[in-house]
This record gives sequence, C-alpha cells and structure tokens, in this order.
Amino acid sequence: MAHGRIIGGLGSPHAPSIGVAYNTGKHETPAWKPLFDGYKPMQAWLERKKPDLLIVVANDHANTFFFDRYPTFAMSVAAEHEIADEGWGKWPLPPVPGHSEFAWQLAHSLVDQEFDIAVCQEMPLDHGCLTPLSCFFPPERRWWVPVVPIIVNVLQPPIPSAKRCFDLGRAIRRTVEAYPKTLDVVIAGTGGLSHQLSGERYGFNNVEWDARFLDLIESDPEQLARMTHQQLMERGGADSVEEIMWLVMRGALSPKVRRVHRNYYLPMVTGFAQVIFEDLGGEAESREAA
Amino acid sequence: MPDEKRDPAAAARPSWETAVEILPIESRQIDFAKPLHGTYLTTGSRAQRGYRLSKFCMTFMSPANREAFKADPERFMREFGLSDYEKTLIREQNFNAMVRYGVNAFMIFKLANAFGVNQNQTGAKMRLQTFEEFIATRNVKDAL
Repeated sequence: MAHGRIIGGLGSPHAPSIGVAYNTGKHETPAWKPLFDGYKPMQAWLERKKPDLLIVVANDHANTFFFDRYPTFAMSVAAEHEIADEGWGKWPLPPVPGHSEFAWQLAHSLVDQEFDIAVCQEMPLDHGCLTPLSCFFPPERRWWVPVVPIIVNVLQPPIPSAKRCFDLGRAIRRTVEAYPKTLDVVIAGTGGLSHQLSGERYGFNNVEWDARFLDLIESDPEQLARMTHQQLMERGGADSVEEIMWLVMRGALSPKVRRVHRNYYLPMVTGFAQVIFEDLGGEAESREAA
Repeated sequence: MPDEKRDPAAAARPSWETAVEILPIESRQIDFAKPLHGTYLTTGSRAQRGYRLSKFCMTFMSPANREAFKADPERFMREFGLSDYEKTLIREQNFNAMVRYGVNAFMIFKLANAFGVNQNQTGAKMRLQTFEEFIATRNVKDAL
C-alpha cells in the first residue's frame, strides 16, 4: 500500500545575512564561500532524492506574527506563501508553494496526538524560512518542492521545551508514515547554533559547545531533549535556544541516522551549521510505544 | 553594573532600567533568579512594559510608515502615542535600553534600519562599543 515516508533531515542556519549574501551574489566571496560551499551538497542531495515535500521548521521574527497573538506552534495549510516585508522591503523571491492536502492532514493528526498547533491559511514568510529555502534551491530551481512551514515560538518565553519539540518531530513522523499516498518527505530544522542578538552579551559564541551539539543531534538527541532553556542559553547564548527547532527535525527521523554532510562556519555573530541526515527507516512502532 | 560606567547618562534614567530585574515567575525552563549577564528575555512584566514600543517598531513593516517616520519622526511618534520616555529612547537610539525596557531584538532591528543602522551596528551599541571595536572581535570582518 502506498504511504508517506521521511527520507531525511536537513539542518541549516536561517540568519538573514545569509539570504542577503546569496541573493546579492556574494556567495563566491572569501568571506561567504566556506558557508555556501556547505549548501552545494544539500542542493545536490535534494536533486538526487527528489522529495515530494519539504517541511521547514523555523521561527517567526515578528513578521508573520506579533505579540498581540503569539502562537507556541503554528503551521500553514496555504497553497502559497507571500514574502514578508521585514522592515526594509521584500526579498525579490517568488511566492513559496505549499501543500494544502498534506498540511490539513498534518493539522488533524497533530491535534489528534495532542499537539494543539495553530492552523494558518495565510502565512507570509520571513528569513526564518526564506534563508534556508534560498540556499537549498538555486535561483533556476525555485521552488520545485512544495513547502509546509511549521513555526515555533522562540522569541517570547514561555517557549516550548526541547523535549516537546523532539516529540513534535515524532508526531510528524507518525503522520507522514500513516499518510495513504506515496509521499517522500524531507524535514529541515533551522536556526543558528551559538549566538545572542541583544543585550551586552550580543555576539556571544561557544565553538566547543556547537561541535558537541552537532555530535549529540546526530547520535544522542534525547540528551539534548533533556536540556532546559537555561542550560542552552548559558552554553550558547540567549538566541541559541532556537536549536530546539533542530530537535523537531531530529525527532522526525529514525533513532539512528546516516550523516552524509556536516559543515560549520562562524564568521560574524552566529555559529552556522549544516547537516544532512538520511533516514534509516524501521522502528516506527517502538517509537510509537515510547 | 559595568555598563553604567561606560554610559554616563544611565544615572539619569529610571531605576528599573539599570536594576537587575527578577520577574516573579516560576519556570522549569528558565531560572529567573539567575539571570544571564547582559541578557534580557522578552517575557512577563518586561514584555508587557515593552509592548507599545514593540508595536511601534512593527509599523516599519509598511513602506509608507517608514517614509513617514523618516520625513517627520517627532510627528510620527506623537501620532502613535508613545510616552516621553519611549520617544527619548528612540531619539537617543538607545537600543540596549530598549531591550531592557522589553523590546525584542527583531523589533529593534526594524526601527534601527529606519535610522540607517544595521544589525551589527545595533549590536555594537548594545555591547557599548563602537562598530570598529566590535568588528575587531569577529573572525571574518567582511562577512557582512
């Protein structure tokens, strides 16, 4: 019987500087090449695996939502996503196609599994989604894979725990595997590793911890899922708490994964990391029981 | 706090701004009794205090509002109904005080941009450094 499956996960930063550098042709300059070279294997992998759908787990930066109403988890069921004006004009990108049929199923399945996610029929996207998408798909290939964005609050505490995000990933996997059509899904977790963008601690980094995080997200994500926000912020700076979005991605994958790509670059204020994890399948039942 | 020495005007500001704020919140995730140095989370009473100024920053998502602010900032601030203190923070481009007041960095970047100040220039000010001093601490100085 036809069914969906998760074929792999991607990890990517989503800093706006990356998208701007790429969209203005700076990607071959010495300052940016070490980062953009890290996207080439990701572009090639996507072309080779030909997914039917990309789930992007990102956060809003006060462009899609505002604190008048700020959802803990939100997802889009829209057929198309506009480009947000973040305060300095819209990026020159075409609207991003969605996947309404799968997205509505995902919404129902997540709420059935007690993940009470906010469902959006309009979701203008900001750099949280647009930076990784710009880098996964070169200009001539925009956007050949439809995208279902999942947005996590990392701006205004209370924000969801690392464990909750990991479990959300598991719930996404169950939804995909129960989907009664052939659907190859890649899930991307986005966000910078160590960084802090406000206060006197602006510019904080921790290269050693970033390397440890990359080891653990691959081989022992449950250890990361047990960490508190306080622990994450102490080690990686206040804004590194967005690493919880990498845990959504990792939770959606098989307990063991095959890492086929890992890159790290810290040029300015954020630890930029890129990974490709291939799913090894199986073990869905034991995960359900867990 | 160390920044008071480097920011002489701090003494003239309200006491809460330089005091270490402990929000009366119990959380499994954040130990509010142990605030991280130089870190001001947008939550609780701080987030509520910063709400109006945050909302003001959000108006810069509209090109028409950006132009209106640039053309006549005083009028734009007055018509929005900001308090005198909020107007002072904006006039002084005191981004770190805005963070302490309760405005999230991503709102501040929208406002800073209207002054032609980019993210890392904003960050340098938050660190109470010049842009040149800040850039000197970075690995790749032209990754901008």
